[in-house]
Amino acid sequence: MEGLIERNFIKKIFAHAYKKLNIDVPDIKYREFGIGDFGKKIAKRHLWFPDINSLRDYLIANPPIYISYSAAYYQKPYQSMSNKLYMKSDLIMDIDQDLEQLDYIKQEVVELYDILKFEFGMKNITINYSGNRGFHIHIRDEWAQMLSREARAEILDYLTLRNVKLDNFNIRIVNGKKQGIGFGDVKNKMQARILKELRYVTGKEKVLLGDWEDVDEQNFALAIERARFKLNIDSNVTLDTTKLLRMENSIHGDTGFIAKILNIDQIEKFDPWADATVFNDIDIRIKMVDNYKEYRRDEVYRVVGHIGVFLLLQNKAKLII
Amino acid sequence: MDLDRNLVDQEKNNANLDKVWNRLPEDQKSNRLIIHLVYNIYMNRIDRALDIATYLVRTDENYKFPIPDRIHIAEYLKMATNLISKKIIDGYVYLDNIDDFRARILIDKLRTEIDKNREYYREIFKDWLPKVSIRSGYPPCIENIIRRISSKENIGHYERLVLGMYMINIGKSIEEIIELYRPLPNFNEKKTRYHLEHIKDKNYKMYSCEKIRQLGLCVADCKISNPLRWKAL
Repeated sequence: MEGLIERNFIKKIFAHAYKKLNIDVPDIKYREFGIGDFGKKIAKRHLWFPDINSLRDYLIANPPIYISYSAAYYQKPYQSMSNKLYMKSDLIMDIDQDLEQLDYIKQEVVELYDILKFEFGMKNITINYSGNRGFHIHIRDEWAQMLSREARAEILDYLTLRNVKLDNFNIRIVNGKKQGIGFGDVKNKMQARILKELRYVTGKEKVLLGDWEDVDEQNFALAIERARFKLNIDSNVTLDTTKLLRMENSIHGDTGFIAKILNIDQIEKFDPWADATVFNDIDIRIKMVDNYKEYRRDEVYRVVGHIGVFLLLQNKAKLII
Repeated sequence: MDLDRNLVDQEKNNANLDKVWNRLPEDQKSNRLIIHLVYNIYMNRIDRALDIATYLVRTDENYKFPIPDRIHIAEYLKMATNLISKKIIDGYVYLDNIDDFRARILIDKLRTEIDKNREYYREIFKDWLPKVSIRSGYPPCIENIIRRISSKENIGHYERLVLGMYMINIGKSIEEIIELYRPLPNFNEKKTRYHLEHIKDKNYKMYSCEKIRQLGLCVADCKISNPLRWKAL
């Protein structure tokens, strides 16, 4: 967004919005913050706030276009990278996906949550909309925060079924018949997903009872492909514990949506246009500079705030004062 | 953990047998094996310890070892992979009877205990190491490293460090020492020189015998406290 008038306007309404947004960052004094400006997601790093009030004051006085903070805890978050003194880090799943196209993504997020909660026994799980595309899952159970990079990789391998081979499945020959796991003896939810897909690719119900007569290397590989989570989990974010992540409930400078914290039962019906908006109490007059959906180029519209902000940030419109 | 001193004495001659479980009398066999297991953990011979522990947990029909049937996933991930083949419920990974992993847990538990009281185990096993009969050349731990290098074994970081440390501490020249490393499969003169000079510049003190034992590099009972005290006769 180039125009000075637009930039000043956006800053002003962001500041106004931060007065009512519910901002909270767990264990804030151990976190590194990064803020971004127009066109630059992270312009300044190594920022630090001793407590939540100083952060709230800052957001109102100098509203950033983007704000993110470290999954990691540091003894000295304000120091340069090599002097920060790493302590531990939230376990993060960054699911980067277009929400509009894919309804089943939401279904998959719910299933992933079930594994984290009921298999891994994680209790401190926060899910938020990223503010643009996808969701972030933050896990803050102490033991999860202490996990090594290797252990985090192992968890991802489990969810994405990396390197899973037919050999892992301990197939026995009983009375001349190939015998594998059935629904009675699946050991975990990923095995259950595999079994379900084996039934699909072989077209045989009997697989569910452990009769693997029709399972071979080819259809097993196909079943694995179908059974792994169809979520684009960015492994860099999970493994690189120095990454900065969009602050929950902050405003995203690409869209004007808030990175809203969601309950698990809100995920399936979630629609950012209805559920992640903040400027819906004002109207804005804009002139389109490009076509976007029902809005035509060169036309002037009075639109509700969050639509206007979205069109301005996407460079589809100019502000009319 | 209290070991039966009488059994410890009976077993000392079996200290270095391979697959020691095949050679032991059935009488108190698992108690004898535990002694060997503790000894190998104490000496940090982890491969040997793992073999013995695996045998023990697989034949442990009376559940002598209080190994849990499940462990927390965070503990599991420190030591093992392959979550997909495990039963996982509410933060716990369930272990199979035939799981090598149980052997590692057993070793881990014992190691914690041994490390708390290394003096005690040193006393218990004082007769287990081979006696030194010929006092010539370098101390046995150093001789052993040199022998392993000359048989072209690709020895580990600590072996290399200890050898260099010892030689520098007794005043050998860098040039002389470099020759000792030459048979190594991945010998690199420049790197070797760099490391040796680093040891020299930083004035590294020679490790004590206790530290050498903890590193699994002690091979004989020399009755000294630091390899530098070795006196060839």
